[in-house]
Amino acid sequence: MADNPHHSDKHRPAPSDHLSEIDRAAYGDDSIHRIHQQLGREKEEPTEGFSQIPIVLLFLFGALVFWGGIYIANHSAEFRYDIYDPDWKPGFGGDQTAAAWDPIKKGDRLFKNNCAACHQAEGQGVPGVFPPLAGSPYVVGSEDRLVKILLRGLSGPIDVLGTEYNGNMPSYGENGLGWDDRDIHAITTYVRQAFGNEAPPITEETVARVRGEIASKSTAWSADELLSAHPLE
Amino acid sequence: MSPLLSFFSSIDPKARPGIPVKVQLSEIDESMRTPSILFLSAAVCWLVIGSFFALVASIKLHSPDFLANVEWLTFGRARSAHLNAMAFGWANNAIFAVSLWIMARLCKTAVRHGGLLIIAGIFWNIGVTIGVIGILTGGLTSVEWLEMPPQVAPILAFSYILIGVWGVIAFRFRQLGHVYVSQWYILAALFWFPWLYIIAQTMIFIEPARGTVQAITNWWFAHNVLGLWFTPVGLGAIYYFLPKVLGRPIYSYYLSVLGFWSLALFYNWAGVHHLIGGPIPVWLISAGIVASVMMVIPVIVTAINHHFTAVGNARATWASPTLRFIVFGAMSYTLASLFGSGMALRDVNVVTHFTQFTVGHAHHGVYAFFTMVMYGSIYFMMPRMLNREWPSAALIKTHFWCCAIGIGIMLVGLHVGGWIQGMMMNELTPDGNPKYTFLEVVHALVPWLFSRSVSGVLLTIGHIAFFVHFFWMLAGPKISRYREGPTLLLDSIRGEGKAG
Amino acid sequence: MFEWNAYLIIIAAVAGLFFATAVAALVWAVKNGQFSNLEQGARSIFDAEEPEGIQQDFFPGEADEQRAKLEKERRPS
Repeated sequence: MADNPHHSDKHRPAPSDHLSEIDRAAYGDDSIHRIHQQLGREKEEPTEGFSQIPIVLLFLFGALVFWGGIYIANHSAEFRYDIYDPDWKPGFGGDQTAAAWDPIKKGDRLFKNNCAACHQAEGQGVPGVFPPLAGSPYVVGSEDRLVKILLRGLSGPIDVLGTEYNGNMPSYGENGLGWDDRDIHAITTYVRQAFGNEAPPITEETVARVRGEIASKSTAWSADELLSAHPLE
Repeated sequence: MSPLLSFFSSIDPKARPGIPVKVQLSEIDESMRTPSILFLSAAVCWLVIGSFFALVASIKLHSPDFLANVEWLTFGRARSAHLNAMAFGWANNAIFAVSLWIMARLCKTAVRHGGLLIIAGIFWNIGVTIGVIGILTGGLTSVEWLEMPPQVAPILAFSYILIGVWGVIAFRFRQLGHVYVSQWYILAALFWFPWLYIIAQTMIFIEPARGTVQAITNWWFAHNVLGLWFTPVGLGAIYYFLPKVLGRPIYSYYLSVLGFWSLALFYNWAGVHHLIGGPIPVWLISAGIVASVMMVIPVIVTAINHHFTAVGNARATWASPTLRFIVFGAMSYTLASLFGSGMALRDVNVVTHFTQFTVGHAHHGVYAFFTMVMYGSIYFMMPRMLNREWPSAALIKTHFWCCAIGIGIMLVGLHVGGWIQGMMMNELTPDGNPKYTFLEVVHALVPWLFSRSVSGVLLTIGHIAFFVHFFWMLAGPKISRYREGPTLLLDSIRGEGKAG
Repeated sequence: MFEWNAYLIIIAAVAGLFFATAVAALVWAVKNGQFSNLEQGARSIFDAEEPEGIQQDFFPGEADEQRAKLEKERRPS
């Protein structure tokens, strides 16, 4: 088999040893003759175990390597450990300018993924089941009351715009989904200014203050509790 | 001589005067029989167990109420149990059997002390069993591909070393001067896998690295298990069985050697493309992207070699159970790898990341390529080790068609569904907000997920056919031959030689 | 166990060793003549028991039929 100069027959036994009992038994068998005939026929066919690499491929591989070099040069950010932006160019400085913070954009996204399932896409609610946000005094009224609802949730009977509701709103504060001040600020500002509502925004500071005030409460609000602290305007 | 010394010298075939050094293939098959069959039996059992978990996880994705009150089979656990049963149970056991067998044959050395191999194999499977039960009972980690409780890692690592070392020993005492390309692939893989596993265990669990380095290690490991463990063994098997069964040498041996070394050079870098967009230094990701694209070189080289060897031999390929599976696997390797290189590009990745597309791609590589090649290898090995024929051509065909159609449906479903999912998630309204809510995207995905369950049923039927056939063959009579002779052309000579 | 930096150095050292092994394997292969006779190399998988030019595997029960078909196809008519 593979005969290269370095391994020439080093471990190879004498030819007589090389033929095992099985081999010797097989010689002379008809099937062996048939095999040899087939082998002979096979050899005439141009089945080459060695063929040079097609030239087209060399060009393709060359192009790939070239592309790779260019890509690394353009997108490696000088191999700095503190750059995460693939399009960073030298001279930009290390700081990544944060995208401008827009509570309405963020609030819109939060609303679609968390609130719209119940309060509906246009904040109109489902009469008798989920209270509306559009025009609701609980939304456009007292800032503290709205933030409190978000931070602890609300359960039990409540009257909104003359319709009676009796459900549960989950908490987005410490006893629930645990949103931070910024997200609460975004969602409350959003609902106060969407669906035709025109109430002033609620700042992060307001959210942080209310959060501190109700730190000792761990359960959802009832409507009565809220209204006794912040009566409807 | 001390017992230890005499043990070491007994490994070396040269040390035994009077025994012919270069053994016959049939003798090697004989010497590998017990350990190989142990590994293969375990592999086939894990295959069926893993299919069950896969079905549960798949059905839960479109019908969340299914088995909802069974704590052991929540989605997170069933999916992880599926992954680990398949990767460490099925794939590794199959690799042990196939790669050691090919290695021994190409080295022309019989395996001595096969008993140690059997003990190590038993420990490996005990380790995997504990690991999967650990996952089901909630002891799983949050690290993808390493979900088994970290306590089983020492068992796995230790028994692996006792198994893998036999491939190295066979190589060390090889009786042929030439090292065939399959030997390159398998020998390298035998070193790569423990390296990957031990580094990942160390840097994630034993002495955890800080911050995002853990994530980088995680994806380096997870991607390399495919690329530097499953892939080289799969390719080594193709390079062995394709020319072997056809009886003609590989199209271009030169290209196959080039393919091996370029794989060794590039693959190791590629895993980081799973973290595109993540908070790790961008140069690392860019290097990963370039390496992933460079993988086109070994893939094209390998593809030319495989397909030009098989082309023009369609009838021969179709007439052999081994080659049906192997050529299916070889074609899938080309396709899956080119898809993989494409998915690493930032512009494509922005769509496919976090979608079912990735899941489809993983199955493309691990199932349509690797697992199909392992099936083919097993169909070739078993008759030679047991000296008897597979009992039923119909069962082999059932197995092939169920798996081929099943995986075909899954690949179409997950790739198309995943692409739609990615496009929907990225679609923005004019003011820059997502156009679809998450729930809408999930709903749009349901029919595609359902198609995956359908494919899962087909695959499971195929696996059960294989399972039944495998154990039927094991339990079958010692010599059962068809009138016109067995698949092994020279078996009659061999059999008579043995008997006489 | 170790400081983070020391640990990184150990990993880097082991990785370097690993890379060095790969280079050594390549150098060995070239020096040993593994790449010098590639046509022979491609044929090293065949031997008397499983020779070149013979299809080695058929579906059980279909071997004779298929082999006859193959022969017919290969024979120049």
